Amino acid sequence: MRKKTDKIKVNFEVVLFEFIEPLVLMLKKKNSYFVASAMPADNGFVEKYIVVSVLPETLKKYMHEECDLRFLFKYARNRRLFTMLASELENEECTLIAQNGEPEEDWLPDPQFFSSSHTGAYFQSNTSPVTTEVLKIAGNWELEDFGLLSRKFRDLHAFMDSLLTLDDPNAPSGLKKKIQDAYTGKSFIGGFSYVNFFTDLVAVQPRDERFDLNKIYYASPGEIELTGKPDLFENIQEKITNFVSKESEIRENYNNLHKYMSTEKLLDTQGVQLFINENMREKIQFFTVSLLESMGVNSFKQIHDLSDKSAINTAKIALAIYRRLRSASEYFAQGRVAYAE
Amino acid sequence: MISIPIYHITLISFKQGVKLEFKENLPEQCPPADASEAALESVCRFLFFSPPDAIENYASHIELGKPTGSAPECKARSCSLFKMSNAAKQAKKIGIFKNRKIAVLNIPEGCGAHSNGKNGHIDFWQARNFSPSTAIVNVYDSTDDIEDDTSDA
Repeated sequence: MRKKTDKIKVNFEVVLFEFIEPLVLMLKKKNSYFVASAMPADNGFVEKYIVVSVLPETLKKYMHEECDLRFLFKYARNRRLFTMLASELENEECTLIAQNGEPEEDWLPDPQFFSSSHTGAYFQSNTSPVTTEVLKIAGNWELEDFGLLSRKFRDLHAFMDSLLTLDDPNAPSGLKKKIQDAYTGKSFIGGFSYVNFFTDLVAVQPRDERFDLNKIYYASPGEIELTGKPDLFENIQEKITNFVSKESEIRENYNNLHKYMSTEKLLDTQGVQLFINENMREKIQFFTVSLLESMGVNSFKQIHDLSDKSAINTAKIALAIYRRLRSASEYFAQGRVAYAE
Repeated sequence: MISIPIYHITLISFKQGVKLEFKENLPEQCPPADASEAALESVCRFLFFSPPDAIENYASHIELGKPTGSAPECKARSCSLFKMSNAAKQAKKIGIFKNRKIAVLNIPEGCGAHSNGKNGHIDFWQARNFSPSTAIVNVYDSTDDIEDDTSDA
């Protein structure tokens, strides 16, 4: 068994909380994070810090206020405690001394010190990736309308997010793998298989990046407040506006694809892997590309690759996207929803 | 040519037409030009020494012997006070401060110069004739007690 070292060198990253002096710090060594909290002192100034190693997922929870500072030192999984002299902060690298055994209660922060108290920013760009979008509503609304519109937005948001994430060179590889898994090996045999596909895409989104229906102010006129990623909201708005203005062209492309798939009995495959010849493949791909492009979804190749290059599955995803865009756009076409100016 | 030692200049402020001499030998441009000599009401100070009016409780970091590294000397020669705020309440949860008492002070005009910082922090440069013990209004164990007293007032 490898013996854990008593001393390690880390780099100072940022002061998270400063009050008179730096009280809570972030330290880092490669991809390992450490959080330091000023220890009691008798001399009137910070002389020493208690330091804890923090797993990235725990740090994320702390930054999202799913746990307090004390949790990191007292309860977090796989934590390791150290002490550090404040004078180490003057050095290029700071030496941490391993702390064996449980820390004294006085050393630890009291409960309910949350990251919202920080005076310095860290992960700021990641802590709140979502924004709110307000839609104006009017006319007659049943409760199920809110649920239906919300689900269509959620599915479109997750679908577009999946493509953008896969294109993002900075996105974590683990996340990309989960997205790929949501696309591959699917048998779209109708009904819940499509629902499950979108549910899987939502499930792989980090919880704080998901679409949500935040508030409903039910009146005529009223408002609904959505939360989601701002670039995706912009993307959805473009697609809905496009759908409303080109509805007949898009519907024709949908019908062409749907009719061909239906005639060739490719829609309800009952999970059976169907053989299609090259001519059929070309036709399906032609209709699929036409449908996707008319909806402003210029991602045929990406979806096709993700679907194990299955022309049938790619077509079925395109049909499913159509149905979601059509349902969402209908509310706008009916004048019951409008984007706030 | 007459040579004037620097400390004669830096110890004296002529703001508001009154000569103010400081306890510490301050560097040039200290206190900063925007510092005020007005009174400070209900300002707080964490206490590390006993009794509450022990002079060390109001000493600057340099007087306390803290290695100041690259910190500006002017700030390191100030006494850090603070206005009660959420940041102060949060600071009281951290080990260094959590078991410390807090003195609340009313500091009359002319007892020093101060400069307001972030999160209710105040840098206070004490006048030579200022005695912190005369300014202590009360000493508290918790920030909640201070807030209770303040809200009762």
